[in-house]
Amino acid sequence: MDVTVSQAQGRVPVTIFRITGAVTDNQELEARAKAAYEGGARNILLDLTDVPYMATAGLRALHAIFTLLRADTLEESDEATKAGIAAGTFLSPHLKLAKPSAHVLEVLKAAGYDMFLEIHRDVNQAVASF
Amino acid sequence: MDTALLKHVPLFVSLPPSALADMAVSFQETRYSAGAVLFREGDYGDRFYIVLDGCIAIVKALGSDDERLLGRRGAGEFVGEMSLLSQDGLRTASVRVEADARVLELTRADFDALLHRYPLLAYEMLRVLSMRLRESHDTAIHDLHEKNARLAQAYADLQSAQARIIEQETLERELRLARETQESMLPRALPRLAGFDIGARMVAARMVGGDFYDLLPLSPHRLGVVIGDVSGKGMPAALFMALVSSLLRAEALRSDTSPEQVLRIVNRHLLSRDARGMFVTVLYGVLCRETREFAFVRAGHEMPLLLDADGALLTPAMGRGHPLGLFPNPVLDIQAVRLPPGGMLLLYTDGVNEAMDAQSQLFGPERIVAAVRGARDTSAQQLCDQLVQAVTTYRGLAAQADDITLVAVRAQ
Repeated sequence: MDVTVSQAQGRVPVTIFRITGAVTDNQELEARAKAAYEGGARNILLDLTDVPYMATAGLRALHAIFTLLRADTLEESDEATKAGIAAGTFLSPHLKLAKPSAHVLEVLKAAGYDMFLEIHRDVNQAVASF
Repeated sequence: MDTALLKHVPLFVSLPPSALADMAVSFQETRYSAGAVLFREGDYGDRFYIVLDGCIAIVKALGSDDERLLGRRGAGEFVGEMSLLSQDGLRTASVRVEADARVLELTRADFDALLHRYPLLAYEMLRVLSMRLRESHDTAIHDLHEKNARLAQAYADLQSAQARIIEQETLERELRLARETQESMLPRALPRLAGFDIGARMVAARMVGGDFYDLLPLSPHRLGVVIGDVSGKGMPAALFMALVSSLLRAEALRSDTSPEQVLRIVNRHLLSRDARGMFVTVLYGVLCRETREFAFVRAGHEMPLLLDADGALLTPAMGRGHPLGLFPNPVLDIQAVRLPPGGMLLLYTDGVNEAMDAQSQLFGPERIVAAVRGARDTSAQQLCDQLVQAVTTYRGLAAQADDITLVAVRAQ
């Protein structure tokens, strides 16, 4: 798995992680996100165009990044977020996904990740949504 | 030869000039080029040598792998006396010229005659020999120290290599024990439920795995069926799997606890511990003998497959469900299906459908469905075994990336 990092500007600055290869390990992706976060990134878009397969370890990394970016936004009510997650209506404003393959989309849906992460079909559209 | 040359030889400084003149007639001056060998170890010695200039080397085991330099002699020093003084007369080492040398040579007979005439020479020679002997002892002891140090280092290396082997063996033994412990947590014999044929199989990708399944006899009429997949592999996943499956079994076997309640309680337990971001996808359902209904709750796990006796797919649409261990109040997918006579319900983990061949192509749910359709006359256990075999064959030389787990229930 390789990660190429770039920057884009929506209404807020967006850090794009273009991932290439199967995501079978959580550590590298989490480490890259942490490094970006420490460098000031607060909104991350994961471009999954070239990800043929995502294991549960990959899902674990996605959740870790979701939590990392959520921790910084204390102004967002934690209770409201929890209630939103419980109702399946909360979508993270800080972590979004773009262009998963049909199979990866199936994996994300089976694990209920589409309930808290926005999934876009187009990278530009995803950037503009932040 | 010129008497003046002898004056500068330390061995002769104590002799009167007349003696030097007397001796001069016996000596013969010879030149040797670098590389020449004056004599070889083991030869019979018939000459004594005094170096006038240049440099010669005294060497043991000359020309062999064990060749060893004993010392060097330069201007004014002598060599070759030992074989002339010893009883057998044999050279104890070889002498090779290192830098072009001029030497004085004296025959054995002249050497003997010289010592008889000038006994003082014998004392002088003895003084030099004593000094060389001491040097030789020092060298031998130094060599010994060096060899001991090398031996001690080799011994230490051997000990640490042995310690590493023991550590590795201990680790492997512990992993084997962990695997046995993990296997012992799976049902030893599958419980029976009248009217249903049940099979199950788990194959870990590593020595221990993060997948699990369980079959819980809740009553003579109701059987709990569990399948789960912890995020990750290896020992951390195995420990988390042990925690989850124990919690689930304990909660499920309490009377009057619905599958949804069981998963919510397990989720609360998991969140109360810092599991370093680990979570688990679980499907837990209860199979009822009378109604043939399988009422299940899906927490982020793959949907089960349901086929009727003719191989038609009856799997309901996937609802929405979070895994356990992520959120305090997860959304859970609550569903129920009815197994028709001859129908097959198959629960599996992503190690089955996401097994990859050497070209990274996925096994996919279609191949699972095809395997179920092709196994209409086999038992539920045979179906599980055949599917494991099919995945293994499909994978070919590619490594098993994830644990594989299957639970099959056929309605009779």
